[in-house]
Amino acid sequence: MTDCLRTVLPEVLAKEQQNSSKNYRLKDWRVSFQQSQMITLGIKNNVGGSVYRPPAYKSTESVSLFLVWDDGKCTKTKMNMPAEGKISDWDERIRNWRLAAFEDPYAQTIPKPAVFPQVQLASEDIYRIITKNSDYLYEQQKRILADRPKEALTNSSISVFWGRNFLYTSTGIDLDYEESRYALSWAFDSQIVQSFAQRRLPEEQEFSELWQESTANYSAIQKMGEPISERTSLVLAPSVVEQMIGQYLLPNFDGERVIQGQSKFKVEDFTNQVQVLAEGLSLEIDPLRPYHWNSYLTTGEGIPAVRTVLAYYGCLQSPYLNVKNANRWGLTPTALPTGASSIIFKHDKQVLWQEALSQIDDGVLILSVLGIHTQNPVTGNFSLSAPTCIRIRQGELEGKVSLRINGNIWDILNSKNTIYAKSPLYDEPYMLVECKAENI
Amino acid sequence: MDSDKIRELVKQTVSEVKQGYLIVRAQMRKEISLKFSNGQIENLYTDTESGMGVQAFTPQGASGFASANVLALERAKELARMALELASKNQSIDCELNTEIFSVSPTVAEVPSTAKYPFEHFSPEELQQIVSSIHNKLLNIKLETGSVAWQTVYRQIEDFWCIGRSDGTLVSFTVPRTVLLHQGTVKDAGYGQSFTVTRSGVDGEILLAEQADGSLHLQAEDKARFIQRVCKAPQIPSGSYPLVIDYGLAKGLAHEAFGHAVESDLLEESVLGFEGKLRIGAVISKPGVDIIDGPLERDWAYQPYSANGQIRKTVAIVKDGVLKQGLGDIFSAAKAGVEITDAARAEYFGVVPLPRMTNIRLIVQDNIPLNNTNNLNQVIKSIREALLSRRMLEKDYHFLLLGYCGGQVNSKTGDFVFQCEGAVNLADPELTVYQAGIFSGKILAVLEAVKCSLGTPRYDAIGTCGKAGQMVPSSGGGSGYIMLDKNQNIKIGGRTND
Repeated sequence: MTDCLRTVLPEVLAKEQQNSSKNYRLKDWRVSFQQSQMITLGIKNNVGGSVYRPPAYKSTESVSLFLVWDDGKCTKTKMNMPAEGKISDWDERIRNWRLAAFEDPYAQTIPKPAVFPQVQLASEDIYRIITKNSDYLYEQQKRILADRPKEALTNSSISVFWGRNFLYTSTGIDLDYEESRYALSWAFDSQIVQSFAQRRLPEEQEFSELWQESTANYSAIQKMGEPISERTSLVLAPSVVEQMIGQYLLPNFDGERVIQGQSKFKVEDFTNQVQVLAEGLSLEIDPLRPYHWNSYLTTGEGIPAVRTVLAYYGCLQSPYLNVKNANRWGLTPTALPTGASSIIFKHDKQVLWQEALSQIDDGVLILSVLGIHTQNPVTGNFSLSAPTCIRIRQGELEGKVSLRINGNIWDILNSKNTIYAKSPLYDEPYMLVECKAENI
Repeated sequence: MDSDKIRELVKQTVSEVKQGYLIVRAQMRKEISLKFSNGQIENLYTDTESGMGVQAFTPQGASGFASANVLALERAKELARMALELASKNQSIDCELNTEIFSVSPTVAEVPSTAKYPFEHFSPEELQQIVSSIHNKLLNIKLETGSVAWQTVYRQIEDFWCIGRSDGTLVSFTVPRTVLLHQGTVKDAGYGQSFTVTRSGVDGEILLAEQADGSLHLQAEDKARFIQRVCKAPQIPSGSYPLVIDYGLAKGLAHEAFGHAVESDLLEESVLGFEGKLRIGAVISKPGVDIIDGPLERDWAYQPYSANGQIRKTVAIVKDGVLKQGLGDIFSAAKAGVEITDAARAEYFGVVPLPRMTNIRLIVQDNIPLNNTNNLNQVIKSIREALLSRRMLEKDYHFLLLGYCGGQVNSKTGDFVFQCEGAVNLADPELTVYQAGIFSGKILAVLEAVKCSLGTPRYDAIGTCGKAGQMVPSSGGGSGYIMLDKNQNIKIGGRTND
C-alpha cells in the first residue's frame, strides 16, 4: 500500500511544481515515509502476558509532508494511508494542503543532497526477531520472571522495533534506510527501576551487570538506612541525571527557545561563548555512536548526522538548531537531540564510579525523584521528593532513606566540587553534588 | 472514511472473525494546531490519523493485541488473526488468564459530537486570523520591570471512536475538544519563570467567546504581574504550614494523591489497597469531604463510554471522608474488590486500555463564600479577609498556593508531589509573595488536613495524564479554594533552614 503511495506522491508533487493553472504553485517539498513494525511483551505484578500487557504487534505506515509554496507560505501535515490503497482526488488534497499554509520565512529551505555518514542503526538480530522468530523476547521475559527477587512485585516491558525510512525532496534527496531498536526495562516494587535501550540487543554481560545492580539495590532497600546528616555526600544516579538533562539542558539549549526569550541563555551568550559551566565540563550531541538509541543518519529535514558541541570547557558554543532556527540564527543546522540521553557529559577529571563509590564513607545514592517535570527549567532551581535513596557507608550500599532535595542545577554544573563518575553501564555519569537535603 | 463506514467495518470484523473473542477499537482523529510566539506565527499543523487495534482472547482468557494505522476490512481480519496467534502463544507460556470480558452484557450505542461548530467550520486561514488577533493583544501587556515573552497555542481535536466486541457490542462516540493556551515567560531580577493559562471547550466557540470577553487575556495579565512578583520573591522556608490551594492544585491533589491510588489495575501496589483489594470503608478524612470522578459533558477529558465499550460511570471515590469506591474496568475490578465503573481509556487505537480518571474533583461541603471577582489580587484579598473575619487565619505563615504545574505519585510508597507557580502569605497583611518549592505529602495523611473550601466550584483545570506512557486528557478541580490544616506529613520544599 505504502509502496504505491511512495511512488505516486513524489510524482504528484513534482507535477504540481509545474502546474501554473492555479493561483498558487508548489515551489518545493519534502516527504518522509516510515514503515515500522513493533512487538512488545510485558510483565505486570509478577505475571507475564496479563490482559494489560499482552504480547502486542503494531504496524505503522506514515507520511509526513512539508510543502513550500511560491508565495513563501509553508504547509506541515501528516497523511494517513488511504483505506482504498490510493488517493482518488489529488487536486482536492493539494487544495486542502494549500488552505493550511502559513507564512514562515525562516522555514522555507529544503536541504540539498549531501553526503550522509555511515551510522550503524539497524541490527540483523532484531530484524530476525521481527520477521522470523520472536522466541528471544519470550525467553527474556521468562528469565526476568524466573530470576526476580521472590519478594518483589515485578513489572517489566520488552519492545523490539524495525523501521524502514524514505526521504524524498524536490531538491533531489532520495534516501532509503533501515533502523532497529530494542528496549527492556524492569522494576521491583516500583522502587528499583532498570533499563536497557539501544538499536541492538544487549550483550549477555551487559544484561547480567544491569540485572545484578538492580537486584543488589533492591536488596539494599530492604532495611531502613540511617538518616543523613549535613556531612552526607549526595550522589545522583544516572537515571536522575538523565531526567535533569531532559528538564533543564534540553530546553535551554533549544535555539528556538533561546531566540524566543524562553531560555536561561540569550543569543549573545552563545556569540560571546559565555562560561556557564565548570571549566572542565563539556556537553555535546553525537548522533553517530554505533547502535546507540539516539543515533540517526539524518534529521527529519534531511540534514546529515553530525556531532555538535553545545558547551566546551564550560563555555557556550552552540544551541541545537533545525533548519528553520539555523536560518534565524544565521548559522548552519546542527545535530538534534532525540531524547535526554542525546546530550553527553564530558569532564576532564571524570572518574570511574566503582572508584568513587569506594571512597565515599558517608553518602546517599538518589535513585529516583518525583516531580522533576514540574520544575522551572529557566532558573534551574529544583525542589524534589526522593522517596527511594540508598545510604552509602564505607563504600557499601545499605539501607533505604527518603529525602527531599533542594538546589540549583546550574550551580551544580558550575561547581568545581561536582564529581562526574562514569559507569560503563550508563550513558550518563553518576554525579556527586552539593545541594540541600533533608530526611523525610 | 466516515463514521458510518467505520461502524460498519468494526461490525463486520467482529462478526466475520469467528475464532476467539475480539474487542475491536477503531479510531479516527483530526487535529489542527496553531502556535504563535511574540507576535509571529510559529507553526500550523494539521493531522488526520486513523487505525484500529484488535484485542483477542482465547476461550481460556489469554490475550494478544495487534494494531495498524489502516482502516480496511482485510487488514482488520489480518490483525484479528495476528492478535489470536499472539493470544495462543501467550497461553502456551502460562500467562495470566482473564475471562471477565466473557460475562459482560453487550451494549449498542452511538453518541454524536456535542460541538456547536463542526471541526471544519473555521478554515485554517480564519483560525490564523482569530488566534493571531487574540495573541497580539498579549503584546500590549506591560510589566513595571522585567520582560515577558508570549506564546499562544490553539489546538482543536476531534476523536471518533468505535468499539465492537464479539458479543455484538457496537459503541461509537465522538469527542471534540479545543484549548486556547497562553504561556508567558517572565524574566526579572535575574530570575525567569513560565506560567500558563487555558480556556477549553469543544469547538471554535472558545475563540469567539475569548474575542468577546477577553477573560483568558485578563487571566494572563493578572498572572504575568503575579509571576513578576514571584521572580523577585524569597523562597518559602522548607516546612509544614497551614495552606489554601487553588482549584487547579485541588485537581492535582485529587488526581495524584487519590485517583491513581484507586485505579483497579494498581491496587496490588497501592497504599489504599490491602492484599490487592481497595480498603473500602477506611476513614481517610474528616466528614464532609468527597472525591468524585466522572465524565462531564463538554469537558476537556470527557469520554462517555470506556475503551471496552461500557458506559463510563461517575464514581464517589471518597464520600463524607470514607473510602467508598475505586476506578474499575472490566478486567481488574473484581480482583481489586471494586465495581466495574468502567474506567478504561486508551491514548489511541494502538495501545491496550488501562483504568484512568476523567474529571476528578475534590469537594468540601463546608464552604465559605467569597466576593465574586475574577481579579487575582481581589481574590487573594478576599480569601485573607474571609479567613481573618472567621478567626481561621493562622499567625506568621498561612500560605495560599497558586497555579498547578504538574505532579507525580508513587502509589506503592504513598508519596505524591506537585508544584505550583507561586505562593502568597495570607497571614501577612502585606500579602508577601514567595517562590514555592515542591508540595509533597503522604496519600494517607493529606485528606485529614482538608478543612473547608472557599468561593465557588470550578472543575475545568485541564492537563494530560501520562500513566504507563499513555497520554490522555485529564481534568478536574475543587469546590473552590481548599484550605488545609498544618500537617507534618504535608510539606513545602524550598530553602532549607540553614
